Amino acid sequence: MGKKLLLPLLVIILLGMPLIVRLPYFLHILILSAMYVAYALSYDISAGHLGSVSLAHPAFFGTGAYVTGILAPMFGTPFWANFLLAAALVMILAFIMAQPAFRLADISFAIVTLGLAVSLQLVAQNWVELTRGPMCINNIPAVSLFSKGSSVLLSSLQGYYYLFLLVNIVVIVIYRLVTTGRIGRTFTAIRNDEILSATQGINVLRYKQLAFLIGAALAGGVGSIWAHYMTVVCPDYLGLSYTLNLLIIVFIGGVTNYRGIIVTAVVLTIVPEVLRVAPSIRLILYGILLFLAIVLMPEGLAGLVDSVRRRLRKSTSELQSAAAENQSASDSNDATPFSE
Amino acid sequence: MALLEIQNLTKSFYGIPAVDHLNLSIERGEVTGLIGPNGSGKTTIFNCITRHLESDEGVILFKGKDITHTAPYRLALSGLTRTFQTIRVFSELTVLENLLVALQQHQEDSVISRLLRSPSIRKFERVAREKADEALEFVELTYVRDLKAGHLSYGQRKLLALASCFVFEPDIILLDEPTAAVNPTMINKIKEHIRILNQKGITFFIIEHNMEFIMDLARRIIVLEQGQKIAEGEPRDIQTNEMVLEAYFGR
Repeated sequence: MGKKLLLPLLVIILLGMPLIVRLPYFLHILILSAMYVAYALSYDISAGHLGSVSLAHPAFFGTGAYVTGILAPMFGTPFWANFLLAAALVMILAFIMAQPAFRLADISFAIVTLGLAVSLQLVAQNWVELTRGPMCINNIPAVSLFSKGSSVLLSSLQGYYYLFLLVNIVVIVIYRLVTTGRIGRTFTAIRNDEILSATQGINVLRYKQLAFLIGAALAGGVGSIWAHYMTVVCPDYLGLSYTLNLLIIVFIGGVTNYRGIIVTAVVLTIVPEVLRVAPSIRLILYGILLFLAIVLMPEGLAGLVDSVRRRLRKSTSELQSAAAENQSASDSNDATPFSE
Repeated sequence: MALLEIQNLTKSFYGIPAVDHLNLSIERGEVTGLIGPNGSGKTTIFNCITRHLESDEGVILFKGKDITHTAPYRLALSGLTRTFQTIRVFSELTVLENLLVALQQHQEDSVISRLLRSPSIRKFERVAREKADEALEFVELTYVRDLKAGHLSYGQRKLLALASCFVFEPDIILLDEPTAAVNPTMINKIKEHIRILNQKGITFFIIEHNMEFIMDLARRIIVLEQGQKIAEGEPRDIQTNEMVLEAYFGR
């Protein structure tokens, strides 16, 4: 019963949030969390489920943002068209990257993807005619449903909050479709043992590339919406700081565990803002918290929840067996006078 | 035409030949044993056949086709699979899922239909479950069907590895030391399973150190020493072959 109520309750809380949270700053933090949820889930498809730890994911997010940053002001295209175009172009970019990168083993793979990400950031920084370089593209129009100048415009923070909720639903649905069922089972097999997978007929390279492309396309789409929201795109969107955030969220949340990743993305976006109460030691406190999280939850938040559940189950079954023993003991005590 | 044919296979490590210009062939329906002292190149041959190692020279033919440079997953799809000396299972998948994941690769469906869970996928899944259940019943693992494979005992893992191979009905299975570190009861069980599967039409090529097991099971034995074939024949001939005795016991 409790579990049945949980989802509707969560939906009501999420939908009602903008009515409770009125300050624009807080709403912005919620939107930022929602962006990180979608972004981290798109990363986990390949990095978590197949163990392909790519360092190029922000390059996909940033490229998606740039596609929108360049096309939207130029052609006045609606947001959904920008979203789809960004996702499609980023997928093509990821496909090109995947050809050499997936021929390499783990560490070399990570380094090659890092190299490709850094190259793209340099392009964004130096191709001033197209990207305006360090001056950033800063006239990206707000979200419009049909075309530039149409009356349906999304410019309020509340509107963006709901848009990012919708983006999250889309990402979660795709994430679940890809990581469960027959494809998800194959992903787990590959993560467990690539050599055995191949001897049973699994085309390991194809599945790894599939996960990489889907994750990249989603990141590109999220980047596109983020560009609309921020109205500005800068080269640091493709930078390493985003990679670190993603790695922290996915590994503290628990690889392959979407619930853990969602909670961690929200918590780790909110915590640094809460720590602003102590600005001088904020980053030190954040570092200590991350350190404690890794020491206390080596298998991530998901692992911690599992072990708490196991303990609870164990103590409940112990209590039940103790109660059963007591009951049988009192039954035998009660029975004694009659038997005598 | 032989089912599997190796012509002039050579593989060296740092200049030292592990397999040295080897020729052999396996006929359809046979159980063939591959024996030899440690380091004689038995597993290297398996690794070259399934392309976990790239051979230096030679040609490998399977059903008449050159598979020397064919990717391991394509070999499995065309009917050639194997087990490993160090037993391998998908530890995070359940026993049933270990078989389903093998079976589904051999069913004709596309990634799109898998993503969208089309009705054909549901039908394939139902058929796969039936086959997997049959296989589990055969190796007597039904009682651990829903347990994660990582929680199985060593012997149970051996049976699961065998089931993962035969469940998709390949033409040939290469078994690398199926009885290593297994108790006598389990050895008899494995022998019986191989016999029944062979009667159903699956060809076996088996590396083994347990002489009693392989001499009883195989119709033909190939003996290797230092990467070369030193003898080939029926078990009773091999047991009295001078060169074989010398390879195992010395002069």
